[in-house]
Amino acid sequence: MMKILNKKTLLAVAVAFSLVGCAEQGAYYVDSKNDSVAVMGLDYKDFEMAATNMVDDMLSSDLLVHPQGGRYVLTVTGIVNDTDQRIDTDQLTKKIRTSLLNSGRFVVTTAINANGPEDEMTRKVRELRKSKMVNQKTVKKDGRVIAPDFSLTGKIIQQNQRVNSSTQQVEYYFQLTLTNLDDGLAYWEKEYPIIKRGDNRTASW
Amino acid sequence: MNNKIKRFIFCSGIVFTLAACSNPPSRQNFDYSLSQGQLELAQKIALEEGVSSDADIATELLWSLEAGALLRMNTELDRSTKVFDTSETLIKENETQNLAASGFSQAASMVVNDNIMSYTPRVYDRVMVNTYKALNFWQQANFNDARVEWNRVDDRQRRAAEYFSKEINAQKDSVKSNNLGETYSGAMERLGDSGVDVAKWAPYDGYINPASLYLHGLYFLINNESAADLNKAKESLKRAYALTRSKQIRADLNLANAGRKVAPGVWVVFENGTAAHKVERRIDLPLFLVTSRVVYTGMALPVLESGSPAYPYLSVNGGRQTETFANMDKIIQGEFKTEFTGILIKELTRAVLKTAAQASMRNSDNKTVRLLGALTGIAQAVTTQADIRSWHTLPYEFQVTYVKWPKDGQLQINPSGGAAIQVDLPATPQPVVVYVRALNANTVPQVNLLTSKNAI
Repeated sequence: MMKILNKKTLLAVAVAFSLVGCAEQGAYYVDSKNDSVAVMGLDYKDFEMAATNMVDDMLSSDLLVHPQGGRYVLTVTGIVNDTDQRIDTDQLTKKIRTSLLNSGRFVVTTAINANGPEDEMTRKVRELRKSKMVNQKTVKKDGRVIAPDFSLTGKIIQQNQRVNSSTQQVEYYFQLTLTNLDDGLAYWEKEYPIIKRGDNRTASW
Repeated sequence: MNNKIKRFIFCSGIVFTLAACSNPPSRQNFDYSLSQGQLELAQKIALEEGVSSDADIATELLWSLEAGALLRMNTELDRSTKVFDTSETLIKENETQNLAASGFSQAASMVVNDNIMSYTPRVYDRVMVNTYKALNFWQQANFNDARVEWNRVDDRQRRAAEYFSKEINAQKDSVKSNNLGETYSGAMERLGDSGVDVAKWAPYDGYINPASLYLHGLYFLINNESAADLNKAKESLKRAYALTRSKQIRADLNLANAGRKVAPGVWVVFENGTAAHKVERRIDLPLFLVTSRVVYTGMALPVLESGSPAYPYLSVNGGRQTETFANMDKIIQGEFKTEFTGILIKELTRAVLKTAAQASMRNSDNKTVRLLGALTGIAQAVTTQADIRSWHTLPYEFQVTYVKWPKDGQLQINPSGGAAIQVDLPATPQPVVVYVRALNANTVPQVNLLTSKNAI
């Protein structure tokens, strides 16, 4: 028994353990363009794909071209997260807003929203007109804030299905609706599905 | 002689090391604290045993479940959710664990007992983790995250039925392939003789937890944001009614069918008592392997002892009384019944292996081997222990009643035989849930208010 545990053996074991140590990798950057790793939950690639697809579709609609060549004002009412993932839906809306803003056809208001303004400052700065400290000429005037033309709402839905004893299918549906606030009609709607299959042994979150 | 003594001491040391303790002192202290209503002390024990002290991260699943439930009862909701979140990470690890690693610990457990393996979460544990998190978020008026947790509850329940049909088939195959038919039926008879009637442990249809199902329905009835949410409420309430035939659930289903707008009112949900727990039952084995040379043979099985309510019911504003709509004991028993066959097969196989090894050593011509055989007998006696681990802070049952919004905004809750509790309702009349948790008559009932997203 003791012969087995000679110096050579111990050395070999030490080398083996040090090699195992080498296998562990520290943090590293992910090349987002060539990243093919998939997770059952929603990740950055899913938001990127959904946002890009939906914005492209929205911008291809003739109904959303301002007749005078100007920009429509958009308010983002909110996106309901009806999935099993605790995600921040702002991740999706931010990408959409940025792309719409960059398109030159929309601007987004942060002062008016069904659930209260996204940015309270538009209202608060007008309260400065009673302040002796503030130069009154610089205080923003009433009647300047622009009311929105369109409201963006939506939902992310998740449905889980069993494919077979070892595989489950998780379906995500990104649904967005753009309502014209003048007449209450939906001018644009889109559903973008993302379907994933993977290990059935555990829940998708 | 000296060598023999050394060998004996060495082997005895191994025996006692192998004897993984099935009911450690920390568990006994924890149960005693609960029975005395010392929830903070019980919480401290659970946190010390199963949660990292610096970051509230679950390290040992069963203890972290106890800790999460107690943090919730002690209204430390953020910590409770964090502990439950990390418990779910452990559950995920358990579900996806490497097959080789699992095989190794299974093999080790055949030599010793199941207590050396880490705790395997029951399906009802998983459903209740998400239910408690959903209630935590609801109580904090975090409706976005509550919705996610209710969706998870839904998925957990869907997976339950799938899991059990697979499990039941696997067990039938196992009885056949191990040729345990006769031994199995003999063991079942012995169990029947000792007062354990496995047949009476019947699950709810589809292994559904009606409490989680009803609370899911009630949440979407009160907090619906769209017609789709109302449909979720209708579906859950319909299924919960089919399982429970509760009058209140029927009334809630009618309310859901009437439309999205729900009038101000108070649902009093009562999480009552402590759940069924497992105890060890040792029985002799009807095995042909038993010989006069065998020191010990037998097996230890976990059997269920019923839980107990804290109070028979609560009366609200001197009138309506809460009524049972879901029984956690029935959920636990139903699930345990399906697992019991597997436990019995494993225990029989383990006993056969251990007894055969013991008999073969005791029959040897070599004195040392015979001594080892005797020690193996002692080892078998010591290591024959049932796995009686379970989540003790789950309730015995769930009750509910409904009262119209009181004009004075006050609610008086009287536990039958206990002191009255005054609850101040929100200034804005709205549909609310008053959630009451009482572990036993020694514990002051915890009362929490779950408000409506649609309150004006």
